[in-house]
Amino acid sequence: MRLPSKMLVAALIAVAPAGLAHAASDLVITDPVSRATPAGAPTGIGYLTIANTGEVPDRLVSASSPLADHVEIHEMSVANGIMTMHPVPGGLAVPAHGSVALKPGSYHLMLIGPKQPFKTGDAIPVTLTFERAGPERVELAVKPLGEVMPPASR
Amino acid sequence: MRRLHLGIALALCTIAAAASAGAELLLQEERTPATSAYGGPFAMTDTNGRAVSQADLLGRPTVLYFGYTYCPEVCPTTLLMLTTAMKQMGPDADALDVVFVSVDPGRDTPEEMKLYLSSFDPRIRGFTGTEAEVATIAKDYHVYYKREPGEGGNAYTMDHSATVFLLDRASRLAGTIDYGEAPQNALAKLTALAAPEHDARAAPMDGIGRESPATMKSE
Repeated sequence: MRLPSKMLVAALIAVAPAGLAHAASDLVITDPVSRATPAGAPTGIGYLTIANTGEVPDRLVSASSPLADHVEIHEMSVANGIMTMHPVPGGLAVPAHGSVALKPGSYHLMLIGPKQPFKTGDAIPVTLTFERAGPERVELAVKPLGEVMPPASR
Repeated sequence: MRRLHLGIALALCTIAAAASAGAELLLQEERTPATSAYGGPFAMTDTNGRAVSQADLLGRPTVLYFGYTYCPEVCPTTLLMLTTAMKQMGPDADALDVVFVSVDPGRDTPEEMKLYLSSFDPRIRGFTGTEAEVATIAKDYHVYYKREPGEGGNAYTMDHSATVFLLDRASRLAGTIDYGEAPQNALAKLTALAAPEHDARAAPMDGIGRESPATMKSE
C-alpha cells in the first residue's frame, strides 16, 4: 500500500514542473531558515514549520543536503540549566490538520559536516523525506547568527 | 531505560544539591572570611596550545561557559550573547577573563576551538584537554555534561550545562547567566562583575538557588 503511493508521488514529482510539485502534497513548509555558522563550525542548523492541511498524519523521517555530510532531526531543550539534545527516534510526526515547528529551543535539523561555512544570504538546499508525501525540497535562507534566537526567558 | 532515567534524575539532583551548596557557601561567606573558592585545581590547554590551570583564573573576574563546537544552537547563541555584551562594554570587558571550556575533548582540539572562537570576541579564551582533564574541571565547577549517542559514528551529541558562571577575583561564584536570559540582564551582570569594586561577599548577584528558567521545549 505504502510503496505504490510513494511511487505515485515520485512519478508526479518527476513529471510535474518544479513549481507544481507541492500540489501533490498536503504539506506546506514555511520559513525555512538557518544561521550563519562560526568559522570552522562542524555543524549547521535548520529551522522551518511544516503544516499538514490533509486528513492523514504524516511523518518527517529523514533529511539530506548536498551541502552537508548528513542531516539529523534533533530535539533539544534547556531545563534546569541543562541543555539536552538527541535525534528524534522514528522521525517527527506532522499531525493531520496540524503543524510542527522546528525552531530555536526545540526541534531542528542538524546539518553535520557542512561542505562550506554557511554565510548570511546563502541558500542551503535540503530535501525532507516524509513517510507519505515523499521528498520535499526546501532552501534554508541563512540569516545572521543573532537574528534567529530563542525567545528570552526573562 | 528506566535505570538510565534514574541515573539522569540522580545526576540532576546532584547538580541541584551542588548549586544549593554553592548558594549556602555564598551566604556563609558573607559572615565568615572567605576561604573556599568555587572550582578547584585543573590542568587544561588553551587555544594556543599553552598549559592553563586554576591560577590563570585567580585575580581576575572570570566568566566560564562549558560547551562544544559541534553544538548547533546554545553554544553559538551564548558566545554571541557574550560577544555582544563585551562589545557594548568596550575596554571595561578587558577586566574579565571569559573562557569557553570544551566538554568534548575528543573533537575539540585547540586548533578547532581557535578557529571557531575567531568568529566571536577575540578576548574569549578556549580551554580543552583530555577526557580526564575535562572531567576534573567539570567536577570542580559542578558542571554537568553527558555524551549522548547519535545516529552513528562520530555523530554523538553532548548534553551539558547551558549556564554561564560568573566568578569574582578570588574565584568565588558570584552569579550566573541563564540560557535565554534577557541580553540587558546579561550585560548588567557582566558589567557589575567587571567593576573594580565588585566582591561576591558584598554583592552576591542573583542566579544561584533561583528557580530555573522555564523549559524552552516546544508544546
